[in-house]
Amino acid sequence: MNIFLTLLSAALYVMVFQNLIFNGGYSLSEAIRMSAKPRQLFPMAIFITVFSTVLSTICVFIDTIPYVKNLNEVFHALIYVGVLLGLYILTMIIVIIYGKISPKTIRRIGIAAFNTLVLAMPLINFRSAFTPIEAIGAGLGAGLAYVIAVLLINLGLKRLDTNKSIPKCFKGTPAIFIYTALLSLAFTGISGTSIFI
Amino acid sequence: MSDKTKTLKTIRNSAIIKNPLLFEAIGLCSVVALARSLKLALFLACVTMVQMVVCEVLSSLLLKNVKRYWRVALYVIFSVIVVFPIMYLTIRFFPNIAVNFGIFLPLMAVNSLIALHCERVAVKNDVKKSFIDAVSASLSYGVVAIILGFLRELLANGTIWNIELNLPIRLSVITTPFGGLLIIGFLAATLKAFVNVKYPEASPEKSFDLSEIRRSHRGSIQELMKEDFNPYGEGEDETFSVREYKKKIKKSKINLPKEANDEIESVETPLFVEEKERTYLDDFSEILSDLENQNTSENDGGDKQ
Repeated sequence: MNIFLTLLSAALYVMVFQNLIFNGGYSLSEAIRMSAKPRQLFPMAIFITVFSTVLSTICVFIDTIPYVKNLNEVFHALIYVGVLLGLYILTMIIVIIYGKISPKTIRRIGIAAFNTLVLAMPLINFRSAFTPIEAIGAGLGAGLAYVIAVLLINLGLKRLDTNKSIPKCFKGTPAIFIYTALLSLAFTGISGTSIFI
Repeated sequence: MSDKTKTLKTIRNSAIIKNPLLFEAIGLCSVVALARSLKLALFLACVTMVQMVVCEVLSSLLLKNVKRYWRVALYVIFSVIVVFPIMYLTIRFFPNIAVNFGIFLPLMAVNSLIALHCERVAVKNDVKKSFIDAVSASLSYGVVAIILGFLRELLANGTIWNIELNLPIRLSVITTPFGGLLIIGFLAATLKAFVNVKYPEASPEKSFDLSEIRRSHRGSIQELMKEDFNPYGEGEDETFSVREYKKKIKKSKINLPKEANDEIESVETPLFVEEKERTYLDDFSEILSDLENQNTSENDGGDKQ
C-alpha cells in the first residue's frame, strides 16, 4: 500500500502539481506538434512512458553506485545521455532482429526517445533525490503529463481553427502559443507558485 | 538564378519566413525555460549556434551513408561533443550562469531544432549549404531568444543586463513558461504581419498540417500504429540512408526520357526549392475547382432533400 501511494504521489507530482510540459516547458514543441495529430497521441505516449520510466529507473540505480555518487553533475548528465543512447540502440537492435516493425514505428521510437521530457526525468530524480519507487512513479507521470498536454492543446486547436474573429496575423502558430501560455498559467496556479510577488 | 541570390533566398526562408521558433514552433523548451534575462539568452544563442554549426557540418560530412534510425542517435552524440565541454567550462568559470541554466544545459543535447535541421538539410546537401543553413537558422533562433530575454528581464526585474531601471511595475510571472509563451505568441504574430507585408508572395499560411485535428485519438493500438507518421515533414523512409534513397530514385527513373531524368536531377531538397510564381492559370483553375465543389455540394444537398 505504501509503495503504491509513493508511486501515485510521484506520478501526480509530475503530472498535475508540477506538470513537466506546462510548468517546466519540457517537450513543448513535440506536444504542440502532436496535438495537431490526435491519432498519434497514444502510440507516442506509450513510447514516451516506456522510455521515461525505464531511463528513470536505470539511472536511479546507477546513482546509488558509490563511485558515481561522488561525480559532479556534468558526469551524471553524461551518464544519463549514455544510458538513453544505450536504451535506444538496444530497442533498435530488438526491432531489427524482430524485423516486422514498420518504418513509422521506428520513426516514433526516435522522436519518443530523444526529447527533453525523457532526458529530464533522471536529471529531476537526481536533483530531487528520488527513491527507485518515486523514480518509477515520476517516469509514468511524465507519460501521463504528455497525454494531458496533448489532449488540452488539441481541444484548443479545434476551436482556434474555426474561430473567424482571430486577427489574420494571430492565426495559426501565434494563437497556439498564446493558448498554450494560458494553459501554462492554469498549471502554474495549480502548482501554487506565487506569480505576482 | 545566381548562387548569391539563391543563398540569400535560402537565408531569408530559413531565418525569417520559416523562423524555426516563431513559425515552426521548434526548440521551444530551451527558449521558454532559459531566456529569462538578456545574459542567459545571449549565452543560449551562442551555445545553440556552435552546436548547430558543428552538428550540421559533421552530419553533412559523415552521415550521408548512414541509415536514418542510426543518424538520430548520432545527432545526439554530436550535440554531446559540443554541449558537455561547454557545460563543464560554464560550471567552472561562470557558476552563476550554470546555476541559472540548471538541468536545461544537458537537455540541449536532445534539442529538436538540431535533429530536424540535420535531417532536413545537412544529410541531403553539401557542407557549404549545411553551414549556411546552420548559421541562418541558429541566428534567427538566437535573435528571438535575445529579444525574449530582454523583454522578460525588463518586465520581470525592471533591469537590462542587471542595470536597474527603476520601473514602477514588475511582473514576476513573465519569467515562468507562461510569460515566455505569451511573448513568443506576440512575437510570432508580429513576424507574421511583417512577412505578409514584406514578402506577400512567399507568405506561408500554416506552419504545420492541421487537417487531422478533428480525428479521434481513440482506436486499437494496432490500428493507430498503422497511421502515417511524419510530424515534421521530413520526407523519406526510415530504413534507407540518403545514398540508398537516391539510388532507389535513380532506379525508378531509368525508363524515362533524358529530359525528364535531368528535370528530376535538378529538383533540390525542400529548403532549397525555388518558389514558383503564381500565374493567372493557377487562379483560374482554383476558381474552377471551387465552382465544381460548390455544384457537387449543392447537388448532394438536393439529393438528400
